[in-house]
Amino acid sequence: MWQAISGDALHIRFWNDEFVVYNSLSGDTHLLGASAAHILLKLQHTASDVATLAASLASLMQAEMDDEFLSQTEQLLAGLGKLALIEHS
Amino acid sequence: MNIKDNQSSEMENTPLAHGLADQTKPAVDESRRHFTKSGLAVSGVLLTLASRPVLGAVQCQSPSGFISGNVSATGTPQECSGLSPGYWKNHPEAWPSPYKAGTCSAGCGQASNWTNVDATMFVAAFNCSNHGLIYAPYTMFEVISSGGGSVDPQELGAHIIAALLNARKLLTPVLTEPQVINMFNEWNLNGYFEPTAGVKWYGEDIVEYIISTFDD
Amino acid sequence: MNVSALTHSELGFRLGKAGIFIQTGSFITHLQTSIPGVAEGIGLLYADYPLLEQADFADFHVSLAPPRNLRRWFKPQVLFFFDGHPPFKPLPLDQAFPMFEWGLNWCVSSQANRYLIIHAAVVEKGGHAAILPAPPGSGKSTLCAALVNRGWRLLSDELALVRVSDGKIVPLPRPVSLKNESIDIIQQYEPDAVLSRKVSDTMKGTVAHMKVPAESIARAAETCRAAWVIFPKYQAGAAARLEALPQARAFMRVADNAFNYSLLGVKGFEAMAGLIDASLCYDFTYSVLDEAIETFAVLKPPAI
Repeated sequence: MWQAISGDALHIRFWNDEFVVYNSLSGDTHLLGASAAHILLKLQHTASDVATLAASLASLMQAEMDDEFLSQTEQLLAGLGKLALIEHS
Repeated sequence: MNIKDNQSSEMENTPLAHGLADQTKPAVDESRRHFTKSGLAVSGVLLTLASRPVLGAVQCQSPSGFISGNVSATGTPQECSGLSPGYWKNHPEAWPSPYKAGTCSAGCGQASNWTNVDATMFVAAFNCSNHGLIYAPYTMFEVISSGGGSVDPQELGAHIIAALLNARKLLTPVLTEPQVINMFNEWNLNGYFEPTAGVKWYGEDIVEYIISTFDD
Repeated sequence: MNVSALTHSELGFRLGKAGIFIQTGSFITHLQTSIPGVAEGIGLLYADYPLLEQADFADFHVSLAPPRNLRRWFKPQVLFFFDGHPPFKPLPLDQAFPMFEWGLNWCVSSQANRYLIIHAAVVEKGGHAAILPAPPGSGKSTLCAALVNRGWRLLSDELALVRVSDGKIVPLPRPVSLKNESIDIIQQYEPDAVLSRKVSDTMKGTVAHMKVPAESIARAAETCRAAWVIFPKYQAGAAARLEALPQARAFMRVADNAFNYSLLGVKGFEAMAGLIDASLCYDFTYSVLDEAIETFAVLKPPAI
């Protein structure tokens, strides 16, 4: 299960389909595309597991929910985790 | 500032990136489709601008200042926080655009997972017509990783690349990218660089100077 | 009264004694120096700046003087002092005036934390400002100098100050620094432009400074908002070309060019977001100055 880090720490703005996120805990600023942002925003709302997130993302991107897609969702989550934007709950 | 590119080569992003791919967003197709290997990644985490800690005061001077020696006993020296060749060798993912260590699809924190695809050649930035011939066949990453051996015992190649990357990341205000390039190109032509008329810096002198611009 | 009200010798005399207080944009600089080269530069390029007679406050107290060592006799040098301390190594005495300019930029960039400070030029026309961030070598200063001679007001050629409290751009009009070929290019482009003498062999090559048009100085208290963020790039032979840049991308690139973005934390993020929100962002490639001026002349501000 994943969740976003404390809501107070994340500051988000977007223009068109791209998001800039400032993490006041790390002091880092990130540029996120639509899928990473979608995941982050969802996780800010509720903790979720990979499968749920992948399904939601597949729906957003109108893509086939196959193993490949699931694996890529996992990679995306790992990436966000590495940047300390999300964590395991 | 450290902008870190979280993506592979398609997502390069600097105004001075000559000839590199423009960062266009993928259009979301109306029909359901299978994603290719990098499909999701193109709308994933694209760039990271790392927080830059406040720099401590570190001894650092321009090449001409360096020769005048540490004469000035007064005041705080200018700040410099260059990183060593060792750092750049172990952090290929941190190389500032447009310089690329190569390509990596997974486990990018490990230098061993990087390939030569799209790696910036040494000659892309430096002239290697004469003394620099030894570096001509190699990528920058190869030069910085190889250690110099017997042809480059003082590791001028590795240090000049470190200096270039440091300058690109604005870590060494007194030593800019054009200055680094000029320093090497002069050395390439003549076997030495003259920071000021009449003073000759050979390979080992250049290395010594570059080391002085590193963060202690 | 302006600096020009003083004769050359009065200026030199005052500078050498208690120094003078000059209003540079929203900063007051107290400068003291006995070095003739600096006095010359001030007399030539700061003629139109307000001189404050009764000043008991200054944002920056700076002075330039030779270091107290043997060097002063056979290879004269100059040190820049800020509040009595020299932050930099000495430079050859010949470079005293450029050193004053660089030193003052350093003062502003490291001290003014009420502003998000971006390494960029800022010019304004019709109440709308164009911010031109650019790493060295992009031709920003040449372009800025040209625009300023073709009807654009200069807010700054080096440091864009975005006030954190309200997002407005605060002017800091100071002499435009030109390097190497740009010096001749601008002199040819605008023969009436007033340039300081060329100083060679500096860390940046040969440098000279261009005097700011009087109107830009007279309007130094007039803040404005950004309408465009344009990344210039000089490319020999290229036709002038503006390419729209997605705002989120522009955000990252401007933040990368800001001195104190990290230091300001969330406030820096918010100030940057506000700036980008209000602006149309572009990459701009050019080679012919007239074409660049043309392109800028037809820029449309964002719809409100």
